[in-house]
Amino acid sequence: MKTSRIDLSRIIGVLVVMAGVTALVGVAVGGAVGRGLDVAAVTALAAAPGVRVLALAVAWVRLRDYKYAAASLALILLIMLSVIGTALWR
Amino acid sequence: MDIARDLLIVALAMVTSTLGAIGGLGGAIILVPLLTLGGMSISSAAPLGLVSVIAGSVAAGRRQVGDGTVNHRFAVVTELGATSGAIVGVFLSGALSERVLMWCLAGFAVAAAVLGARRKGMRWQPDASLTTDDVGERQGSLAGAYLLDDGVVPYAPSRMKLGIGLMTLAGVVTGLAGVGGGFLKTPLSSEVMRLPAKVAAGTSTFTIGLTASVALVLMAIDGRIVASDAALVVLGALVGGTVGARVQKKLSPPVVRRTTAFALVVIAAVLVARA
Repeated sequence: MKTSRIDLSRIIGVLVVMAGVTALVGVAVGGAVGRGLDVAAVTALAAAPGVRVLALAVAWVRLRDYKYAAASLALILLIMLSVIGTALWR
Repeated sequence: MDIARDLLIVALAMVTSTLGAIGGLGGAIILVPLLTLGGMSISSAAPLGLVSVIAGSVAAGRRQVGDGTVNHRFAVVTELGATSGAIVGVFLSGALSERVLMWCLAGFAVAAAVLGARRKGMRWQPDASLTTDDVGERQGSLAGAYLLDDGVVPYAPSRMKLGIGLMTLAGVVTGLAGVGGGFLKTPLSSEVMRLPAKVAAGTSTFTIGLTASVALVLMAIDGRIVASDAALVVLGALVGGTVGARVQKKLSPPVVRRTTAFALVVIAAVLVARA
């Protein structure tokens, strides 16, 4: 059975540790520097799910699994359109 | 700096993310009312709920990907329906009263809890011929296999057209109501599309992180995120998501279903209280 697991588990693990340490230092330091670190931790985590879908699309293209690669790109497009549409509509 | 308040935010995020990762429910629907009970405004608490869902989702993902309890192909296909529905729901918001919506969602949560709790045993059984090399998704299809104790369990979801239709409908309702919808996605994946309970929970944990990140971007545009509080939630939810995924691995699928059912009943009570 062929799987699409690249090394997502390890990549996610590194991200979790980096975001956790950044948030912890941000909370401990406080002030403008702390706030910057807080924002960096939240931004990195918020970007992670979208980046994961993009990484999956690339992995599936490499595996010639074009149907699901197209589905993941369609999902990214749909999400981008929904963000832009909602931001403009409001 | 109010240390007691900060520790309370970390603890609440940790507990709700642990519960959320076990059942794939997110946990924001429990965290946000708890934060508002502590005196925080709903407009400040809502983005923190989203941050907890994202952090919990990412943290749980590390273990769940390794165990094969996230089916990314299934997630992408069903999320296309759910996201399309949510967009329609957002644009229709106001078409139904919030009270009616909350009662509908509560009714669905209770029905899903009953369905999940009533079912006995395991639908998919370990296959002795499979090894850990077989864990993961099958290329070109929605089937896969996940690690359960020392065995490997193969599975293949079914009734996809019905399931995607219902996911789209769930997306409309969640878009209308402004809730994440993890508590709808897990039971639909498990009870309608017949994904194993653990895979349904792991896959839902991934998709709700994606949905929450989109909503968080919109809230950031509105300037509604307090970075210092969000960092506290990140700390709690990263620990909670990791713990939740570890606990889920140790629990048997029937126990995961019953735990999810219990959480769904709590969510239904919260929704009724909001109505």
